[in-house]
Amino acid sequence: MFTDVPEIGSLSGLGEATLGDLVSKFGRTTGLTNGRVTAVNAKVNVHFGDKELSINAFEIAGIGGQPFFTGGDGGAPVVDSDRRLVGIVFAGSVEKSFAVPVEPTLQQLGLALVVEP
Amino acid sequence: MAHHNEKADAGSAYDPSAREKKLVAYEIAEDAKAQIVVWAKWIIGASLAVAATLSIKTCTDIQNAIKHASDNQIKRAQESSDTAIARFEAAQESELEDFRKRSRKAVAEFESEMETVLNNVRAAGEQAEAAILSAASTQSERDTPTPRTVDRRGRLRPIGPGISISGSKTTGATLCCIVENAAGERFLLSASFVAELHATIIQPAAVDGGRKVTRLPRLST
Repeated sequence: MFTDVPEIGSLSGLGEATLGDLVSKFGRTTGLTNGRVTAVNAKVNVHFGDKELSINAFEIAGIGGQPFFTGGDGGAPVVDSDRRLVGIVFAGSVEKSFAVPVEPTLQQLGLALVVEP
Repeated sequence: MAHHNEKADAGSAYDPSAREKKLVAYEIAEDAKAQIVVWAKWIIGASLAVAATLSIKTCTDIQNAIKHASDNQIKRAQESSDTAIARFEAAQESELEDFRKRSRKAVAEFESEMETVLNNVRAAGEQAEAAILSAASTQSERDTPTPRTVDRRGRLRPIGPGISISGSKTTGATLCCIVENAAGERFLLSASFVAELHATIIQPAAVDGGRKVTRLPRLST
């Protein structure tokens, strides 16, 4: 299954992160971490070499005394408590991490989740 | 009458005729009759007076007797009705007390029964909840196989969310998921800094020992 997130389970579909939601992510560096959505519709300026992008993102605070995101986790799926894919984490620090909402991005690009290999 | 007597006395002086004698006798008789009538009147009057007095007395006596009797009757009636009222009140009070006791008992029994029913309902609800939870968890276990554990920095086929990827010139990052467009073309979705445009995508990431396997034709974010 293309939707099997390790240690979380199969994605149940797409969702929208709302303030206070409990979310999880599974990434290459830190594996499974949990966090709470602390802000939505945040404008985040990201520097890529000489480029600066302003990205609409939502903010996640890690819980359990662990950062939600560390380098190498970029691109990892952010999943809500119903295992709906709500975002893609792309930046962060020890306290706060940021993810882009996935549903509007896919809609904009005319893309849908693939379930079966 | 005195006049007749004087005449009679005067008559003794002369010889009265037979007619005169008769007349005198008649007068005497008349006088006697009148006297008797007077006496009779007196007797009758006195008798009547006595009778009246007696009757008045009797009447008063009777009145008194009646009054006395009726007073007695009334008193007795009052007494007996007072007793009856007292008895009735006592009986009523006792009835009321009984009723109070019975209703208190009934209320207590009802409350106890309700408590039992509520407890039963609560217990049944808890059982049902537990059964539902157990069924749901069983169902959910059936629906969702235990999440797989993978070596997230190792090679994984088929590929899936959460594993190590990179472009050929970038450091390690993570794959979000696999997506497709209306034409059925499939793409890997991740963050835009994961790889340069049209770069070859490597899984696992080059830093994790990966080699070139596939391309990400278009960056999504």
